[in-house]
Amino acid sequence: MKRLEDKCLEFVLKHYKPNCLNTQRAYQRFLKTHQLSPRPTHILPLPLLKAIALFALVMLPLGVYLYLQPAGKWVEIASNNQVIECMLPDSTFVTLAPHATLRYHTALYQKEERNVEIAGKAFFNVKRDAKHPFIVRDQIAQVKVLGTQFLLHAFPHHTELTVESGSVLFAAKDQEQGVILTQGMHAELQDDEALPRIVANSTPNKMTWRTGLFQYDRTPLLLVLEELSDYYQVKLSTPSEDSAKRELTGTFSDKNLDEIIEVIERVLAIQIVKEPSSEENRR
Amino acid sequence: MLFTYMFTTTLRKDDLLVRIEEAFKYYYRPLNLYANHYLNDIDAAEDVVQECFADLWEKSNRSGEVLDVKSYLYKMVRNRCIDHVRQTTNEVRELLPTDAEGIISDEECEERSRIEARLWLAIDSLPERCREIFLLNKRDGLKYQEVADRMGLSVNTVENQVRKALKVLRDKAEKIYYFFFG
Repeated sequence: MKRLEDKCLEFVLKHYKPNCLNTQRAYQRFLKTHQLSPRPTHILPLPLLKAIALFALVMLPLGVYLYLQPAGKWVEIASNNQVIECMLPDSTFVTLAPHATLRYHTALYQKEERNVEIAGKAFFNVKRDAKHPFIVRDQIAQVKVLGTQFLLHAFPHHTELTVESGSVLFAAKDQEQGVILTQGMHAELQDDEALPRIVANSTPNKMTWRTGLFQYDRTPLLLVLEELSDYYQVKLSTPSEDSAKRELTGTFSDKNLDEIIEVIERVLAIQIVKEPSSEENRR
Repeated sequence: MLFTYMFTTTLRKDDLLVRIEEAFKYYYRPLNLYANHYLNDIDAAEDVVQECFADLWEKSNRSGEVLDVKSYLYKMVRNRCIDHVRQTTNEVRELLPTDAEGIISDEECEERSRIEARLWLAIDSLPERCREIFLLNKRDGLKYQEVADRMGLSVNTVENQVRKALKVLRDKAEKIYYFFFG
């Protein structure tokens, strides 16, 4: 093969002239004689180039989104039929009432805020952390706190909030303005309202589902029976108007309704009638 | 490396031009050296090859599809070279490609043209002084001493420069060898 190369080199050398056989110049000459303008700079056929551009245009934001999206996952805690207690990553303590659901994202939680979503009733004992506000959202409301204890009950169309200690900002979802609630206050937000309304605490024992205790301090019997009826899903009443106005003071365990009825009957010397609940719409 | 492009009438003018440019890039120099084997005149060869590209452009624009651009170009260059010699010299005898030693076959001519194109490019790529020394020595047949005298250099420098040039060419030729037959 060396011989072929030598022959080739011999031939090339014989005819070699500098600045000759310039491909670019020849191509320019070709363009000039045919009055063509140099082709556009793209190397790929235009339709393919367009397709690639479109693909890149679509994929780029997706890529950026996926890149910026922190790794992590959603954690959802559902209580089903029982009361469950759970600890969030920052030692915030949550008690979920039956049929409540709590959800948070492991990577987003505590990044700037501590965001959780809730459906149903739950009691929060929020770990104090001024740098990362704790925000609970349900379908319609949001509650912003730094560190406190409160009860949130998300109904389908309204949300009730009871503060046990500390203070919270209670607002409609995505609203800047809200109501600041402090210890012992209770507020309700309807889904068609912009601001929650502060209302008197209707029943004294909002936490019974959690504590297992009914506490009464000179509470009218009518209110007591209403609350017990609601709690045990029965209908309790007393035959005489007079005895309904009596006041009750005491603490009961929520274990056995019949025992509670018996004690009240004895203490106040009255009659209490127990019937199955006529109410169909259970909460 | 056999580039085969589809030239069809359905292609847009832009696309055709892209393909023409590609054809220039890959075949222009080899075609010239191929033509030179027939004509022994590099300027005339350039004119012929230029005409052939014009012909390819018109043909692909007008009607036909040129399936194998490379074969098409080589065949056309050959025919035009023959026409060119007939017109300029009035010779009727069959024209055959030649090298310094005599007649070679058309196939060999085509094969050589690719290697020669690379060698030509390799010489182009040499530094100017190196190329000048190399050409004086190898093309013009001057001895090292004569080159040294003419350039005002030492014989050693001339020798080094020639060796350097040969090494560059050999490296490129090896690459060509690998490229075509490896």
